[in-house]
Amino acid sequence: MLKTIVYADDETDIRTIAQIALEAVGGFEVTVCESGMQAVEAARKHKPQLVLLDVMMPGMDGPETLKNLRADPALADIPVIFMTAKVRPEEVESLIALGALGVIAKPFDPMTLADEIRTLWDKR
Amino acid sequence: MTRLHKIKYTLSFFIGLLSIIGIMGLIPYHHWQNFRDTERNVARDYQVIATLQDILNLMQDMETGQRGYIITGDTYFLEPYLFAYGLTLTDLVDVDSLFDFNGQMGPDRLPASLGEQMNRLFAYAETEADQQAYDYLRDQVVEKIRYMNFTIRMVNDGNAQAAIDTIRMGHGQVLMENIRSFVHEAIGQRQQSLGVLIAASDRSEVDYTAYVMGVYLALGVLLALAFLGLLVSHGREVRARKALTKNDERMRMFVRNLPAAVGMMDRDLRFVIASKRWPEEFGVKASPEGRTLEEIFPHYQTRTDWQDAVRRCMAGDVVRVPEDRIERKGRDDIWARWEIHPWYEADGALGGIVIFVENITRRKDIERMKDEFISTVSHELRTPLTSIRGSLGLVLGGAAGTMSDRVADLLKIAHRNCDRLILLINDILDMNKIEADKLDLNMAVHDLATLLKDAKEATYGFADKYGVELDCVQCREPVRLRVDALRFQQVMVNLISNAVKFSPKDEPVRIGYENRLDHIVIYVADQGPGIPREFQDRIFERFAQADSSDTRAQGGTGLGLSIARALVEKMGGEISFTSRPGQTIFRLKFPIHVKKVSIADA
Repeated sequence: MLKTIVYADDETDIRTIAQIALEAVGGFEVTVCESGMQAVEAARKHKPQLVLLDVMMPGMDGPETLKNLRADPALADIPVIFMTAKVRPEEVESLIALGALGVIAKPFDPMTLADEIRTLWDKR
Repeated sequence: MTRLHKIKYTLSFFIGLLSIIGIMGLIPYHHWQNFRDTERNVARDYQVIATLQDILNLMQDMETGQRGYIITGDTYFLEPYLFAYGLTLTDLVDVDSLFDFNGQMGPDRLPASLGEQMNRLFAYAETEADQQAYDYLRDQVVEKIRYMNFTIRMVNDGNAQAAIDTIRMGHGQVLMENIRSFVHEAIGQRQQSLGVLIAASDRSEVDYTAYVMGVYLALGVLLALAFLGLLVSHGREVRARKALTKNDERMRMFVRNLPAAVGMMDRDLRFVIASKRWPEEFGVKASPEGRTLEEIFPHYQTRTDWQDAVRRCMAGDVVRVPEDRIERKGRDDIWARWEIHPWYEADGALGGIVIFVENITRRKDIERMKDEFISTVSHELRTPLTSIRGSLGLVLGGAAGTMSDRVADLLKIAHRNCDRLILLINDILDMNKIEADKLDLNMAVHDLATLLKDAKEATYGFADKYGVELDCVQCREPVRLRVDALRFQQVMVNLISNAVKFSPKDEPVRIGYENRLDHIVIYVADQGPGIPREFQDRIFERFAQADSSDTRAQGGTGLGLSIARALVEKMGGEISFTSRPGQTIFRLKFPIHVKKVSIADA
């Protein structure tokens, strides 16, 4: 059963909504981060079952964060799901090719976000 | 005037000229013949006169000699007589032998010279009358000679008195008179005929002179006319050449001042003429005129596609390249749109290439900026929308506690319009990609059954919301289409959601297909009010909605069908519709993929 998630997005409002959607609607335990750097640190600290990353973030973006996670042997096996507004087929494919478990399109439906994540998790 | 007419005209003109020259030549020939005939006649008449005169003279000489001899008995007087016979006094050794009946001067013998003259006379005889007249003369001459010889023989026989008596009888005198009068009359006739001939000849000469003068005059006039014609035609030619030069100059001005980089090259790719825009458009130092394409664009050496294009153009093709990136050392790349056309000389031989090049770097930059702008704006719009929609979703989903129905209704309006904004942004992005021709399709072979099932699943919730049933035919045939599955889905969702929006609540939207062997027609049919006739022509246009006040249509963006058509056509299909009140059917036509499905496709 999926329970612990580290989630990173630079947008405060979206972070708040996603947090409610994941915690209140989905019932997950979520560590919310403001950047990719924070996400890597949180992952080291909490060893979550899943990392949920926004793609477009200042500084370290989603794919960069994924690379950093993969570079750390302790974190290399944690599945990663991206959230992005860029959902053209080739963009999705390139993200999958980086080793992501899946891609969730923005804007997401907060009432079904948790289900989407679970579906992807089960496909793993 | 056609070419055939021209040839006919020239030919008839030459034939006419030749006949005139021929006639003008025939007349002098005719005159010359007349002259020749007259001359011959005149000469003959003179000859006849001379011969007659000779005959008379000879006869008179002989008579004088005869009489002298008879009167004196001296043989000296016989000299002219002997002369007529071709003899001299020294031949007169034996007079007897000469004058006996068998001798040379026998009584019936005619002197050789006289015979000769007589023969000549007969030779000149032209008519029977002439012949008879000369016969008479000969008779008289022969008789006279005979008579004279006879009297001379008498003297020789020593009978001089008998000879004198014989003469006195006057018979010889009569003969001589006959001869003389004949000769005089004949000469008179001849002289008269000569006069007539000469007069006619003179008249003819006057005529001929007049004719020759006339011909000279005519030739002079012709020559003058020809000269005049030449002058006129030369003047016309000069004017025509001037006009041509002027025209040429105008064409040159036209080409030079064309508001684009245009040029004409010969077969060695050297510019014959070029517009003045080249330096401005491509930063070349001066007009390309006189220089080669390679000097203007050194890349030509390495750009094999350009060399190919030139080769094809030389073979008669028109080559158009809408966008071409030209790399430049040390400077920014430029984008160009260019065309090359072959051009031909008047005789049909290839003259070279006409080239048109447009610098579209700025346009490309602007396009890129526009694309980037739209992409950025869309993304920037999405971020706040994600928050708004998320918040509304959570509240409406009950994640923030309960609320009154009125609050819920108002939030639902906000939520619905938020969805609509998101759709609009997605559609604008799609449209932007389609227009920039940057839509990348992920074409692959898919089962029609899967495609239809996915379409139904994707729209089931939406239809349910409108209370409309989806009656989707199950596909059990192994039909395969080559499409981009996501884009195909986008089109199907658009068509089905349109149908649902306009369908009456208790009537289903039917989704199905018809197998036409080489292609498939997929249809989406509703039993709604139909598309208004006046709107049917514009249905695939952007932001085309039949009635913006139609509350049920408010869910759409006005871009859906426009995008659908672009997507279908890009995937190699066709979209069409038929509509009347009570039924609207949209049809998608796609070729059936018949190639054996390979591992790569699966």
